[in-house]
Amino acid sequence: MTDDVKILAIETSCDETAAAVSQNGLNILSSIVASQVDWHRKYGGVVPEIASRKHMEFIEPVVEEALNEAKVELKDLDAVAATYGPGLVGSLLVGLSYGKSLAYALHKPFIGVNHIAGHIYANFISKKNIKTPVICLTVSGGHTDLLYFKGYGEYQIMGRTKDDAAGEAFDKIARYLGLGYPGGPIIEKKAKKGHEDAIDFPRPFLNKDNYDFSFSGLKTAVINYIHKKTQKGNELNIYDIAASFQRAVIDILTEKTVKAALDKKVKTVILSGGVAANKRFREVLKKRLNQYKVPLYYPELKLCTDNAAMISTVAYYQYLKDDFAELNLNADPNLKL
Amino acid sequence: MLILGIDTSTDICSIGLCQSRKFLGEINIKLKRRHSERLLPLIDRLLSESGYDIQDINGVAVTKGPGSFTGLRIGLSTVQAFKQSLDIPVYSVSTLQYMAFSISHYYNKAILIPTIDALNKRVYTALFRRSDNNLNRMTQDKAVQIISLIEDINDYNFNKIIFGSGANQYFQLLKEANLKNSKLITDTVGMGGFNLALMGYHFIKDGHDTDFAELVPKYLKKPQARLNWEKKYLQGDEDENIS
Ligand SMILES: [Zn+2]
Repeated sequence: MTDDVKILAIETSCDETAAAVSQNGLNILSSIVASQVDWHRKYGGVVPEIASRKHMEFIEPVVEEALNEAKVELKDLDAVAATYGPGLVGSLLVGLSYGKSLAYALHKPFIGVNHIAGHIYANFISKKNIKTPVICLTVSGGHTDLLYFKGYGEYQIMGRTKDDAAGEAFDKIARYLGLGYPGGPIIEKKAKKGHEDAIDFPRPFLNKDNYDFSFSGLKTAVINYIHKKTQKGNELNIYDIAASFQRAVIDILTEKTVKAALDKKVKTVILSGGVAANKRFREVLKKRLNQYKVPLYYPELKLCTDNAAMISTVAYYQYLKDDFAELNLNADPNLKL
Repeated sequence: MLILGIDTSTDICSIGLCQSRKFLGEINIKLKRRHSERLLPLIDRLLSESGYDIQDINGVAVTKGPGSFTGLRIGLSTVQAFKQSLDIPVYSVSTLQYMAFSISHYYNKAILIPTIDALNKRVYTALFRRSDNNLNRMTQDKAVQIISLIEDINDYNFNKIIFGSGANQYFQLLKEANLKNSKLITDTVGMGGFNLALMGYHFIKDGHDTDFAELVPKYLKKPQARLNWEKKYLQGDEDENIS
């Protein structure tokens, strides 16, 4: 009965409208993502009300396309899944209402999925047979989460950001420098032409004996630096600022991750979220982990950013455990693992 | 023809069921912000108490606002999913038009003025009139200051029925305005899921089917971030659609 399980998953937690169909969890038959980045760019960040409006427009065509590409009809599905948190509540509600209603109308079980779990599982889609236990670092515009993952369904949050998410810090600095949105790829590009050690920005929280992150102090330091320079009439070296800022973020992320990996004596470290696409970050982290012979994995780019394939994979493992949700499941913007 | 009606545009969630013109049932319940939790269980309750399954329905009527954006999006994404999975026609209607329809049987020839409180002495409203068994729309849905609504409607000599949550909220203001030939109704008389389902039946049997692209809330207002941006970068020229 469980040897051919097809699950449709819907993901609308932030500004991507996504749907995917998986077979037996890791075999992704289709994964469609409609990005709204063009509608949010001019505001320098995601505008929740606009995101909710766009999800309403995109949801049906995206689901339809996911089914078509997978060559699966609704009646052939074994379950329907949707992300119910964490994320923007208005955005979550569109995908969740849609998913629950599809399941209800089709007489299929419904599975509510935690978005963060999705980011972890994205790695297992990309590379089969990753050795557990692992430390997973998820960094994006929405989250900075350090997790200890023992096996399917067994996770423990080790640390998270106390203020901005790492990706958010990139967005804010990029906006401050007038570079555009989203900030991550733009800063990374500028940083290539700059010197990482040109400016000594602080690395807050690095010395504390925990796994939490903080980026607001760094952000303020960068903004103060720019402010001082311009007040004195000095030319700004955007490349050096980008490179030094990026390196500070990388150092903060790297040190906490390595510390967690060593403390938990894990076999593997995995990386997910949009910031995992940053090549310099991968390089630095890989080198540090190599010193301890801990391999680093990260999913391919399209699985790093928000998508529904990862949600359908999590849903599959919930399906195997009969972990189904009732029709009254509500969105939880602050959902924890 | 089994038609389901769903209204989630205000804090009263209404669902109704009709078999062609025949009343089967309705649930109208004040939910505040719990539509996401309650909508499907209530639909399931109404259907099963009436002896039906969701797969038996032949069409859905749904409100598209004005009203709470979040509430509307819950109702409309539910209806989009029903349309996609059950392959049935859908009728989406202005919340104000549905309100007017609900009481139109009792007030032939009068001008019907449904109102929804839009905060800060503003209401969402539109004018309707029933004649020859038809409900005719006289003005488009819009948000107006209660004061300017009073000015607008005083020009009409017909009997006027002002009702809904706006009339309730601004009852004193409306009463003090001494409107000619007017009746103020402050309760929700006549409103209910059955009327919405019935309205849906009339349109769906005539072949109406709202596209997916139209199954989105009718916003009447751009997002605040968009308004701020326009203020900063546009000198009043409206170059783009609401997005
Ligand atoms: Zn994410």
